Amino acid sequence: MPSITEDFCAAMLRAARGQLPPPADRAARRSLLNVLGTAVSASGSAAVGVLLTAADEAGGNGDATVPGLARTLDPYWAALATGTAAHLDDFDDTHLATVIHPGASTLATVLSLVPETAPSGPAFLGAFAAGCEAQLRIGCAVSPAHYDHGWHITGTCGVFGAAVAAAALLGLDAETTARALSLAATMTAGHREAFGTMTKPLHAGKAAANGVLAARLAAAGLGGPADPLGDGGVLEVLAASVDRDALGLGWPEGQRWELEQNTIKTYPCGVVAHPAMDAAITAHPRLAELAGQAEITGITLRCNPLVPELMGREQPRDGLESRFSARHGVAVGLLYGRAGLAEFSDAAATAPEVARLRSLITLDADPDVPRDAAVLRVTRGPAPGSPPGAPEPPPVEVAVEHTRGSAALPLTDDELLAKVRALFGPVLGEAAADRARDAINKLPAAADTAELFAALRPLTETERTS
Amino acid sequence: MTTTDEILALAGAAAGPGVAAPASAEAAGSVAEVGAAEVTEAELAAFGAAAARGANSDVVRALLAVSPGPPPAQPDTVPQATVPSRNPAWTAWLTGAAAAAAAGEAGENSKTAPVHHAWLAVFAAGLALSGSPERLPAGMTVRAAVDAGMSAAALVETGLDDWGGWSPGTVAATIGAGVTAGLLLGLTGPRLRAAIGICATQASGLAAAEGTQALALQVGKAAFNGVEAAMLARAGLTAPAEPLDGRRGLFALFG
Repeated sequence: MPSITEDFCAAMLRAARGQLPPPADRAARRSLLNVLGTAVSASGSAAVGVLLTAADEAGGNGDATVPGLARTLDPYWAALATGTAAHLDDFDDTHLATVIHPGASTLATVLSLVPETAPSGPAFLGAFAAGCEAQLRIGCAVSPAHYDHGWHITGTCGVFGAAVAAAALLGLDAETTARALSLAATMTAGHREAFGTMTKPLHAGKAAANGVLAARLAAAGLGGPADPLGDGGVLEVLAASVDRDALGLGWPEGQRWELEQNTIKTYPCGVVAHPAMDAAITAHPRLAELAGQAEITGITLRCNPLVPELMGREQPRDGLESRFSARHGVAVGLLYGRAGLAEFSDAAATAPEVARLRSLITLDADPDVPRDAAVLRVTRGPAPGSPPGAPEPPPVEVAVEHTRGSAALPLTDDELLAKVRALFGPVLGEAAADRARDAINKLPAAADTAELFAALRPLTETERTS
Repeated sequence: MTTTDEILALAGAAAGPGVAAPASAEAAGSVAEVGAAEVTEAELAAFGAAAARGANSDVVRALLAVSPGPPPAQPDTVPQATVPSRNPAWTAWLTGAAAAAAAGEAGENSKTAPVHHAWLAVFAAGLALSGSPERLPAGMTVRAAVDAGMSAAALVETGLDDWGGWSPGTVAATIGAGVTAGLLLGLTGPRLRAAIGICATQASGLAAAEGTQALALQVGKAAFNGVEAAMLARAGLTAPAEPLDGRRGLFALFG
C-alpha cells in the first residue's frame, strides 16, 4: 500500500501533468506573471549582484535564464538568483492562511530546469501550479503553529514545492518523488529573525535550489526516512500541532486548489500591513484638504496582532528594514498618498518627515480585527495661523474591511498587468510585460516556452536596432 | 555578550593576534573555556582517510552524478584533489558525505564516535578550502580554522535541546562549518557575523535520518551550506545581527 507521501506525490504529479481546472489555470497564470514582474524588477539589485559575484567565483555559468538579465547561469545559481530576486522586495504574493509566498521559489525551480527538460507550455505551467500547491498544502498542515514558532514558512515549506515541481519536469514517478520529499525534509531553511536582511529572500532561492537537488538526488537513487509526510514524520518536526487532513489526500478531484487563494501584493512590504496602508492612502487627500501634514499630532492603528509581531520595526534604517515596519507603510501612505518601490527605498526609509510621522504612530493590536482589515485614526492640532484656543480639526478615521488584493477584493487582470508593467519598465521596458502576459496566456496550448523566455531577457543590440 | 559575539571572539583568537583580537576580557575568558576542542593534525589526516574510504559510497556516487561540472574520472580520488566543479561548497558536500558514509559503514554510533558524525561537516569545510598554504589568510591554518569551527559547534550544541526530531549535531555543525570556512576565506568582523547568520537560518537536518542515506547527505550539506555562506558573506550578503540568540533565531527555534 502506498504511503501517505506517495499518495500526496501521485496526486501532485497527476495535477501537474493533467489539464488544470479553469480556476487553477487562471490562478497559476496570474501568479506566474506577478512573480516574473518582481523577479525582473529586482534583477539589478544589490542582493542579486552579490549572488552573481559568488556565482562567478563558483564557476556557476550555464544555460538557465534569470529574468531581466542577459547573462545565464547554471541551474543551481539560476534558481538561487531568481528565487531571491522574486522575493527580495516583498512585492510578490501571499497565501494568507499560511503566509507563504509560493511564487518565488516555484518560479525559480521551473525556470532553472527549462534548458535541460525543454517542457511544453502545459508541462511548464502544470509544474509551476503543482509546485505552488504542494507547498501550500504542506503549509496548511503545519499552520499556524509552524510560522508562529518563528519559522519563515516560505523557505521551510517552499523546498517541498520546489521538489514536486522539479520532479514533475524531470519526469519522476510518485515513489521517486516521495524520496525527493524525504531528502528535501533534511534541507529546510528559514528563520524569521532574518526579516529585513538579504537573507530573507535568500530563503526562497535556497528552497528552489535545494528542492531541485533533492529531486535530482532521488532520481539518482537516494532516499531518507520513509514516508516523511506520514505520522511521526517531518510535519511533526516542523509544527507542534499538525492537521494532516489539510494535505488533501485524494485531491484534486472535485476539490478546489489552495493556489486559488494566492493573493497578489499591492505594496512592496509585509502583507499584514496592507490594510493599514490602504487606510493611510485613503486618508491622504482628506488630510491634505484641511491642513498641512505637519499638523498631525497622533496616529492610532487598530490592527490584527500579526501587525506588531511581523511588522513591528519602529524606525527602520534602510529600505529592506522598512518592509517590516507597519509604521513606515502608514507614514508614507499619509505623506505621499502612495506606497510603491520608491516609498520603500533607502532614501524614503531615512527621510526626516517620514521618521517624524512614524514616531507618532501607536499600534493597537486587537485579535478581533481580521488580517485583511484595519482602522486608522489620525488626530491633528489647530491649523497654522489659527487664533489661540481654536478648536482642533476633527480626527480623520478610515476603516478598511478588506484590503485591496485580498481574497475578498482581488486585483483585476488589468490591475495586475499595470503592476507588472511598472516592474518590467525600468529593466526591460513596459512592452515586455505585455509580451510576457500574452506568452503566459498562450502556455496552455504552447509547444514550448520560447515565446515567454524571449520576453524575459534584455534585447540584443541587433534586436534593438531592427 | 551573545553567543554570536562569543563565537566571533573565539574565531578572532584563532585568526591570531592582530587579526581580530577578542573585544574584551570577558570574551577572552570564554574563548579559553570553550577553546578546548584542540583538533590535531592526526585528526585531520584521519578525516581525510575516512573521506577516502567513503568515496565509493552510494551517497557520494549520487552526489557526483548531480553535481555541476564534469565528473572526475576516478570517483575514489574525490577527497584528495579532484574538485568536480570550481565551487568549493560542492567539494565540502562530497567530502563530508563521504566521511559520514564511511563512519556509518564502520558501524560507529554517530554520537559516541571519536568525532561526532555531524561535526565531520566542520572538517569537510576546512578541507574544501585548504588549497595551498600560501593562499590562506596570513597566520591561518586549516587546523586552527577547524579547531575554531569545532569550538563554535560545541558552543551552539550546548544551547540546543535533543528533542523535537531535529538533529542538534547537524544544526550545530552548520554553524561550525561556516566559521571554519569564513576563517579560511579571511572573513572578520561584520562579514564573519553575516556568515554565521546565513548559516543559522539554513541549519537543519533530521534525527530520523540516522540509519538512512540522508544522514551522510545532511552532514555533507551542512558543510556545503557553511562554505557557501562564507562565500555569500564575502560577496556582501547581509544577515541578521543576532542569528542565534535573537527572538526568532536559532536557539528560539531549536532550543
